[in-house]
Parts: sequence; C-alpha cells; structure tokens
Amino acid sequence: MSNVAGRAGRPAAGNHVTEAGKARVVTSSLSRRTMLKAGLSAVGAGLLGSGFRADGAPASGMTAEEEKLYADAKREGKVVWWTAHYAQSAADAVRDAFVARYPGIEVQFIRQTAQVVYQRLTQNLRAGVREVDVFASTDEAHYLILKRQGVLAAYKPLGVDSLPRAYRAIDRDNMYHVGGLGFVLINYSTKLPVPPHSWTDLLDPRYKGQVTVGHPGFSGFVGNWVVAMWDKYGWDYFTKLAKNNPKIGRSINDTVTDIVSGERLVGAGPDNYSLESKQRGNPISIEFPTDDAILIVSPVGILKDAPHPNAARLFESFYYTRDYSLAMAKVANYPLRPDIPPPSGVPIDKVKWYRNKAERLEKGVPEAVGKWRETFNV
Amino acid sequence: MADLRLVDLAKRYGATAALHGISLDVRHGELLALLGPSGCGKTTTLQIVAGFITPDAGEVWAGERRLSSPQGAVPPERRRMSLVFQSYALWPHMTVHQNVAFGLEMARVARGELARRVGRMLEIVNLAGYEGRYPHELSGGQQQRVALARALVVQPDTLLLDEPLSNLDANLREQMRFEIRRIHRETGITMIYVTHDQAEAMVIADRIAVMHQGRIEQTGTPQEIYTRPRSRFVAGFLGQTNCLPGRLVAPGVVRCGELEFRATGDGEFRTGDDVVLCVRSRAVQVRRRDAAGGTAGAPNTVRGRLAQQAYLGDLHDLQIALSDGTLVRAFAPLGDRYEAGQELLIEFPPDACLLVRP
Amino acid sequence: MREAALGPVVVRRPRRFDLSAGVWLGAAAVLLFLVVVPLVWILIASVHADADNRLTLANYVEAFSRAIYLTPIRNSLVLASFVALIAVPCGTLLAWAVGRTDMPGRPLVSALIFAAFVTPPFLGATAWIFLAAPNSGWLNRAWVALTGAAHGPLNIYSLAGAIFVIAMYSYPYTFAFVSSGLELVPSDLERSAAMLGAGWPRVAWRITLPLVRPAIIAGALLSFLEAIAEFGTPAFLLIPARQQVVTTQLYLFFQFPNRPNLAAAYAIPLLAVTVALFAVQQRLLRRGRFTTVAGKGGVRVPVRLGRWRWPLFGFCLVPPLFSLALPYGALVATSLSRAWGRGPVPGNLTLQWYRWALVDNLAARQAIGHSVLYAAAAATIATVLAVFTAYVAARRLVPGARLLAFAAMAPFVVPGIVLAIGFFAAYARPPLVLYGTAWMLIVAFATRFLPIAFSGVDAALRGVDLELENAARTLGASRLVTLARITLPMLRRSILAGWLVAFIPSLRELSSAVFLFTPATAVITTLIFDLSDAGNFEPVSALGVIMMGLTFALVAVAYRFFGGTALVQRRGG
Repeated sequence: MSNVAGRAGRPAAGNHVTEAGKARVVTSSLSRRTMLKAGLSAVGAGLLGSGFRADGAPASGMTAEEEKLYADAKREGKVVWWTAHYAQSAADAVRDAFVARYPGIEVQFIRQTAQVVYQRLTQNLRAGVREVDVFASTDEAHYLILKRQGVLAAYKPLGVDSLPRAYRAIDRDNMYHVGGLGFVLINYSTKLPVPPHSWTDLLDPRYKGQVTVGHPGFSGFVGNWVVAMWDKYGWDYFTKLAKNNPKIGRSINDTVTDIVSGERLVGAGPDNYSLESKQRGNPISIEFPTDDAILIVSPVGILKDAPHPNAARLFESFYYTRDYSLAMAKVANYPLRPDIPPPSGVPIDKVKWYRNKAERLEKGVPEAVGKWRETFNV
Repeated sequence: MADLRLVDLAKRYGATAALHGISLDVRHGELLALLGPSGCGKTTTLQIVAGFITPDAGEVWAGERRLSSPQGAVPPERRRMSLVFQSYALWPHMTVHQNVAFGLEMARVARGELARRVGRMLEIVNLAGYEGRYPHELSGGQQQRVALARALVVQPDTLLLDEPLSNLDANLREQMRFEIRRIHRETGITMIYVTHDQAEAMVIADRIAVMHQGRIEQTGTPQEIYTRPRSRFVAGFLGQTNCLPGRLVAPGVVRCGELEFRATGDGEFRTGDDVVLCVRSRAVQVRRRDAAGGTAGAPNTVRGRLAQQAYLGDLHDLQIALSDGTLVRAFAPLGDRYEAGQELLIEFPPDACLLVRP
Repeated sequence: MREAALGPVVVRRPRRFDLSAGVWLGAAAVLLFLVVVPLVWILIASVHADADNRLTLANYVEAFSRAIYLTPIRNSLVLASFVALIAVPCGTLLAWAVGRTDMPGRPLVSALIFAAFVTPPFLGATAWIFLAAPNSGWLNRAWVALTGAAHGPLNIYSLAGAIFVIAMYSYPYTFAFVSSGLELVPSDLERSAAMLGAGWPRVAWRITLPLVRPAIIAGALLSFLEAIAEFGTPAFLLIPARQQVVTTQLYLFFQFPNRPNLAAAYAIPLLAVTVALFAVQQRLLRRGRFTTVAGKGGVRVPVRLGRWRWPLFGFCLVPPLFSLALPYGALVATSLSRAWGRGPVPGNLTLQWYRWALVDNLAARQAIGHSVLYAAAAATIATVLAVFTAYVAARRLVPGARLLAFAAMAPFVVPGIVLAIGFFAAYARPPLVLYGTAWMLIVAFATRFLPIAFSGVDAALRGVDLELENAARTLGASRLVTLARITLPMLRRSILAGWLVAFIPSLRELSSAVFLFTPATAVITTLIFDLSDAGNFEPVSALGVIMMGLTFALVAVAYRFFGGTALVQRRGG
C-alpha cells in the first residue's frame, strides 16, 4: 500500500484494489498452473517456470508505450472480451495470464462458438447496446462485414510486428489482426489401431455411427471446414457423410468430448483442444490429413465504441506478447510468436494446409449452413 | 341533519326488474323499517341508499344534497352513513378495539379522543372490557354489538341496518330488538332497518314501509299498517289473515261466493267493485253448533266443519271448511275441545272485517 | 340528547384527490403493456421481411411450404402426444395410490413427486445424457459390461429419449389435477360399489376414475401443452439426433443466419395450438366442477389393498427413480468428477468445479447472483401486478375489468420461447430498449409467471367476503385504503405463496431467457445451456446442482411457513 498518493494523476482507489487483487489473482493462477502442470507431458513442461515470478509482478519489462497504455487501461479497470478462438479452459488461461501481467484490470469474457458470439454482437449493435471491447471470432468473414458496417476501430496493436510476415497484415486498414491460428484436422480415439488419413476416409462405411462433427451454423472452425470440403469435393461429400450417421454437436470442441468419452471414434476436430486433451492423458490423438488440414486464421478486433477503449487496446496488444504465446503453447494452441515452439511439434509452414479466402467465407458459410440443414436436418 | 328522500328508484338486473319505482321519505331521527319477503327489493334499496349500487332511474337525496342518480353516486365513504351487515362483517385480523376504532381513524381523530370514544361506545353496547378480543372469540350476540358499536361511533347522519338480527337465536333476537330501540332513542340517529320479520318491524320501527316485488305497497305506523292494510299482500304479511275474494253488492255488504258478509272500511270502494274481504285469524269467533247464542242466521255467521287442528300451547290453530269449500283459519283460545269433523259456527265480527284491493 | 350519548359530532376530513382511480388505471396500463405489446409485435414482425423490412406475407409462405420446416411441426405433435400418453396414466395411478389407498409411504411419494415437479426438464435431459448416451452412457456401459453385448440398448439422443425425459417431469401435473379431483369424490360412492361385490381394482376402474375424468383430461392437455412448448430438452437431446421440433427450429431461426421475422411467423401456429388447447382444458375443468358432487366429500376411507400394499409402493417409486434418483445421482457424480467419462472412481473425484462456479469463475458467480436477483424482482413485480389486477377484476373497478383478468392469464398459453420472441421484437429496438439490461429478463419472467401468481391471489380474493370491504368503505375508507388495511392483511399468506410460485420457476427458466440474455445478464440456466456445448459437462453439472440446491432450500423454507398445499397449486384451475 505504499506510494498511494505519490504518483500524479493516479487515483488511490485503483491502488487499493491492486494489492488484494494481485493476491487473489496469484492464487487462482497458481491453482490453474498446478492443475495444468499435473497433466502436462514432457512437450510443454520445460516451458513452465520462466513465465512468472513468485510475487506476481509482470515477467518481462514493459516498454514505455506499454506502460502508458497500461496506466490508461487501469483507470478504466475492466475489459470485456468475447472469443470463439479456443475452448473454455484455454480462455481461462489467457485471462489468467493477462491479469498476471496487468494487475488491476478485470477481464470479463465470454467463450462461445463463432456464430453465436457474432449473433450476440449484431443483436447488441442493432439495439444500440455497447457491451463488448474486444471481439475474437474464428470466421474471417465476420470482420469483412463488421468493417463494412464501420463498427471496428482502427488500431495497430503493440508488438503485432512480432507475427510471422505472412500473417502480419490481414487488413490494410488495421481494423483487425490475426489473433489465432489453428487447424481443423482429423482427431480420433487411440482405441483405433489405424486412424483415418484423409477427409475422404471419413466417408468409409467402416466408420458408420462413429463419426463426430460440429455444426457450421455455430462454429467458425466447422464453417470453414465445410466450405473447404464443399469447394474441394462438392456438396456430395456431405450427402455421403450423412450416410455414415455422424453425431452433430455445436462447437468443434464437441468432437473432443465425444471421442474422449468413447461416444464416437473419429471426428473433424480442432488441433488445439484435441492436443490439450491428449496432454491431460486422455485417449485421443490427431492426424494431419493428407488432403490438407484446414487452416483457420482467427482475427481479433476492437469495437469502435468500446466501453473501455484503452483496456481494449491493451488486451489486443497482449495477443502479441510472449506471455500470451506461452499461455497458448501450454494449452496446445499455436503460439503466435515464432520464437516459441508449437505444441504439436510441427511448425505451421511444415503443415500441408488449405485456407479459405475471407470473401469466399462471407457468402459460402451462410449458403453452407442452408445446405447443411437440408442434408442433415439440423 | 335533513330528511332522506328516495325518489322513484328503479333497478334492473338483466331482464328482471328488482325495483320498479320506489319513493320514500325518511324523516330526520326516525327509525323506518323496510319490511318484506326475500326478493322484494329491500336489500337492493338499502344498497342504493348506501351507495354500493347506482340506480337505473330515480334519485336519492339527503336534504339538499343529491347522493345517487343514474349519472353517478357519491361513493359510500363520503355519505356519512354507516351500515350494519347481516353477517356483521367484523374484520377477523383486528381486535374489537381496532374494529370499532377504524372509522375514527379514517376521520383522523386524535389518539386520546379516539380511545375515549371507543371506550364510551363499548359501554353503551355493554361490551366494556372486550377491547382486546378478536371476533372469533365472541358469541354471535357480542359480535352483533361490536358491529353496532363500530357503526355508531362515527356518528353517522344515517344508520342502515341489513337484517342485523337474523343470525341470532329467537330469545336473543327479542332481547336485541329492545336494545336497538333503546339505542335509537338515546342517540336519535335516523335509521333504516331492513327485515323480513314483521314482529321485529312492529317492535322497533316508528314507521314501516312494506315492500313486495320491487314496489312499496304501503307506508305507515305499525298500527296503521296492521289495522288498515290497503292491499291483500299487506294484510296477509302482518299477522295470519283469511282473505276471501268477493264483490261489493251494496254499501257495507260483500258477497263472497254464496256467502254474504257485512264489513267496515269500504270507503274507497263503489258498489259493484271486486274486493277482498280480510279477517285476521285471531279475530275469527268460533262456536259450537248448538251453543247458546248461535243461530245460523246471525250477521256474518256461517256454518263450517273442522278439517284440521293444531295445538300451539297457548291457542288452537283451527282449519275450518265452510259450506262452499273455502278454508278458513282461526285461532281459538284454550278451553274448548275440538275434534276433526265437528260442526262449528264461524263468525266474522263486522268491525274486524277489512276490505282491501284484490 | 344525542350529544350526551356520543359526544360532539365528529368532523370528517375534507375531500381530497382520490388516488384510487389513478392507481387502478396505472396497474391496468402496465399489465396491458407487458402482455399485449409483445404479442402484437410478434404479429407485426411476422409480416415484415428479415432482409429489408418490407411488408410481406413471404414469411408465412416460407415457413409452411418447405418440408424442412413442416417436419418439426409433425415432430412436435408426436412428441407432445406421446408425452401425454405416458404422463397421464403415470400421474393418475400415483394420484389414486396416494390419495385413495392405504399404500405405505404416501407422504414420501408425494414429496418425491413434488421434487420432480420442481426440477426443470432440461436438467434431467443433461443428466440422462450421462446415463444413456448410446456409447458412453453409464447405463449402456454397465449393460455392455454385464451382458457382453456389442453396445447398450439405450439412445437418449432420439425422439423416444426426449419423450421419455419430458414425460418424467410432466406426470406431476396430472398427479396434481387428479388428486384435487379425487378429494371431491365421496367414499360413499365407492363403498356402495364395494358392498355390491366389486373388488378394489374394479371399483377404481369403474367408479373412481370415471368420476375424475375431467381432471384426467385436464392433466393430459396440460402435459401436451407443456411438452409442445418445451425448449431445453429438445435442444439438448434432439439437435444431436437431428430431429427438430418447433421450439428448436425457432431457436435455429435466431442463430446463423438470423431470421427473427421468419421465426415470428413460424411461432404463430404454436401460439394458436396452445390457445385452443387451453380453452378446451378450461371448459372441461369448469364442467368438471359442476358434475362432481357438490359440497364436502364426506368421510374418505382409504381403499384397503391387502397384499398389494407394498408392491404398489414399489411401483410408485419407479417414476421418481427415473425423474430423481438416477438423474440427480448422475449430476452429482459428474459434478464431482474431473472428467465425467471416467466415472465416479476415486482418482477422479474433486471439488474443483464447485470452486470454479462459486469462487474462480466470475461469469458463473455473476450468473448465480443474477438468477436469484432477477427471479426475486420478477416475482415481486408479478405479485404486485397480480394483486392489483385481481382486485380490479374482482371488484369491477374499471370498465372491461374482466378483460384485465383475461390479460393476466394470457401469458400462460404463450410458450416461453414465443413470449421471448415477442419481447425481443418489442424491446430490442427504440424507443424502449430493454435488451442488454437486466430488465429484459426480469420483465420477461414477470410476464411469464404472472398467471400463476394471479390465479393464486384471485382464488384467495374470492374467499374474502365483500361485506368486509364494504364495511370499511362506509366508515370512510377509500378503496385504496380498504385494500391496504383490510383486504391485503387477510390475504397475506396467499400473497406470499403467490410470490414463491412465481420465484421458483423464474429461477430455473430457460426457454425465454435463452433469447433475451446477453453475456452481461446471463443467469444460471443460460450459462448451463451455453456450457453444454463443447462438452463442459462437469461445470454444467456443478451449476445444475447449485441451482437445484437453491431451489430446494427455498421450497423447504416455504414448506415450513406455508405447508405443502400452498405450493401445489392447480394451474389455470
């Protein structure tokens, strides 16, 4: 509680929260760490420990810009973040990492599938409700539409240049940036002696009643995958898939639950959550398909009339810090910074991938959803 | 404190008319009874006077102030009238004191004054000391007195009572009649008293208005109504009466079927009019056939045969069949023995014979 | 003389502005606003195109000409019919056993049925997924382990599964109706049949049951109504089964791509069906009252079952087994597991999910707080409105007062999801934007449960003798004062009971909340719904257990204060 009144322009109330908040945050991040630590395999373990100091003070030193942004953000005290990029546990980890680096700012977040968060956002915008600061969806097309509607703020986050060159500027006007990278690939139960090797393998009758997928009307990952399959193999791919009686959930992460529980054996699933589950010791594994894994570029953007603009900027910039990438790696997501090894062991440029164009997604996903409903009745 | 005037009140419920046009003047300080059988409209009249119902036609005036008309009615809380309900309507969640004090609270009487008045009123109704009791802890008679106290303590211009004694047993009822009469005398408040019990009305009221099927048949003092009823219904309602339809064949002479009787009270009738001859059962003289003084030819005396008799303790209730089959009911004093089938002489004393409209 | 008796004349207070009229009209206005506006907006929305807001009938054409939208209608009808077919014999048998026989353990069975009544079906559906998912459900796995079969026989992700789950939480309605009906049947009727040589089964079948036929039919109709309007269970069980019903289809219309006006058009027939059925049910109940023997039921002597006592008791425990024992067991076991797939084995047990819900996760804590807060606010608004409306209607204080009573009961026939669509259409746009605020949910809950609060208060109000109020008015009390000093104190218990029967369902309401919440105003049920994708079964179970813990705690409190009968109110009766 020292130096309360010393610094000019900083209200004492903020500092009162700080110490207690720090203690609480340290406890929860410690407990989260212990939990993850228990399940981690050797791949990720070595990365631990270097990230945080025992007293919870930020790990790496901050630049002057960052300090100033932090100060402004702390005055606002809160950031509201809606994300579809990863599963709940990964979102929790990001939240913990952010709060550990920037104590005094509360993170209020929702983790939902991409179409659902997008739906909520558009409903809010139509009703004139300003609730969200940072919007992180897995469907690039959303950002094309939002940018056209003029609801995104132009901002170049601090540290965005640490991204690999190919991903540094997906939008010329800096309205949104790459916030996450991931793949839709084949996940399968380790009970299977031989996993499927390609997407077309999933159509094989031996997998009848054993396939699990998400729903393009909910999940951005699944929407991406469906459009990709449609473009590669025609819609016939799905009429054939329907014959295999797949279990259709909502999120792409549902496939992981189904495989882990033994409900189904193979799925079109996410790399990150499948790997995290595997790291925790569950009987699931992944296979990069021979006919391309589908690369999902998940953008992140700030709303123009965000209720907490500075906190929003700080949060978006957080995506490009080491802390964030370390947290991502811990939960088996591709770290954005190239100086941190990927959890699957396979760097992005070594993967055989296929990526939908954003413009294709804009029209393709709604059409795909319509056709999906007709084919699968849901 | 002016007179209460009801002018041509009418009320319909759907297709049925409850009141056909009631006009009545209630003089300041009098106790007027609305007497009639159930369904005659007396309660409806009371409800209109109280302000719970608006009349379809007609008006209610209190002095120079119009209280009710088809256009609207002054609400009950502003009429300065109190109502004692048949069911007493005591509030079960309040003590006797709270019940009685309620009206004074509404009038914002100061607390000390309020307590004093409530105490005094409870003394008047003989319930001193019962302030803390709840209604369910009181007997029927006591509840009735609380209802009275509650209604009186606010000193209304008019007190309305809706069959207040009908839930009490016979003895208590007779006692309470006198109580109410006493209270009326002591306080001098104008009272309208609704009842179906003619004995009650006779004891309590200064004047009685007899109602029948939505109309007032006759208004007058108890004595006027009893001795000079103007219609068959009024005659029959107060005291058991024999009514024989007939025709006035000559001044003071009525022919009923084959029988002829002399009668008084034919003032408003002309020869040839249809009339009804009424004789109270108490007034009918019954003699044995061959007792002294009994000749069949005597005026107003006819022969009859005893059809049925009932012993009522202090008199005999006789049903006698006349020669033309008409059944006459007579109350005979004790003393004589009667047997079914016995031949008797029936005399209708001429001054007990009343002529009324059919 | 008079003054000697009574003292000087009391001066009445002078005339002042009568607030009464304004208050009644104000309450009436609020009521109409809450009930009528959303329904009107549904109609308006249904005739405007989603894309460009043009006036058009295309929504109706699209909704009812495409096979993909007609199949859900058929599925809904099938679902509701079978639910009624199962729930009614179940509920009737239980009502007869508990109300008419000397079966042992009758209070226990009653309590269990009440617990099933209080449990929301979607939570039961979640638990039954743990039990009967085709490959991973515990019951199936046990079957495979015991019999060596290839896979288990149960598949909860099916229309049959949904029918089963909904029926298991629907039989309490029939139970309540038939129990009430049975109370009016005097024993003499049964005893005379017995004296003529009929055994107890024949007496039950030929005498007792026909006498309560109106109640049975009313219960059947209510089960049908609830099933056709149910959203949570079909969302959890039928979407994965790729079978739509009308409610899930409505939900999908609000997902991507967003077609709220099409949804409005699609919702109209659902509304029409529920209104029609409700009208039929009301007519039956009214006639039922007249045909039952009037007055007291006479002495009721229970039927002696002899050696069938305990078997019947065992039989009566079967529905609660399916509604309560198995599902709650599964929920609690999952909430205590690290990974539900591994089951409640020692290495898998943990309290972390409860800590997550109550301590760690801000969203969960907020949701719990919101649930309690919104439910309390909604119940309060509903009760206040119910009191005023019941009073205005019973005393005919404004012209058209009966319409007000009708309006207060109207939300009952509107399925929750349709009401939510209406509220969304009405209040997610200027001039009055409630969307995004807590008031959106509070107002929706208050409207949804106003009928329950209203019927309770209305019934109690009819028991208040009018003369008690008239007496106060002759003594100078205005209507408002009379209501406050005389009527309401006498209705105290009923009003509190009314509050509770609006609070408890608000706490566990899903179908209307799922449309109207934003993440800032999430409640426990919407959080459960959101988390149930991505297979977060463990936190979902923990939240479910917490929600039911809150509910049962409140029920226990209410039971202590009011006795059980106040809460088992006949809906719409």
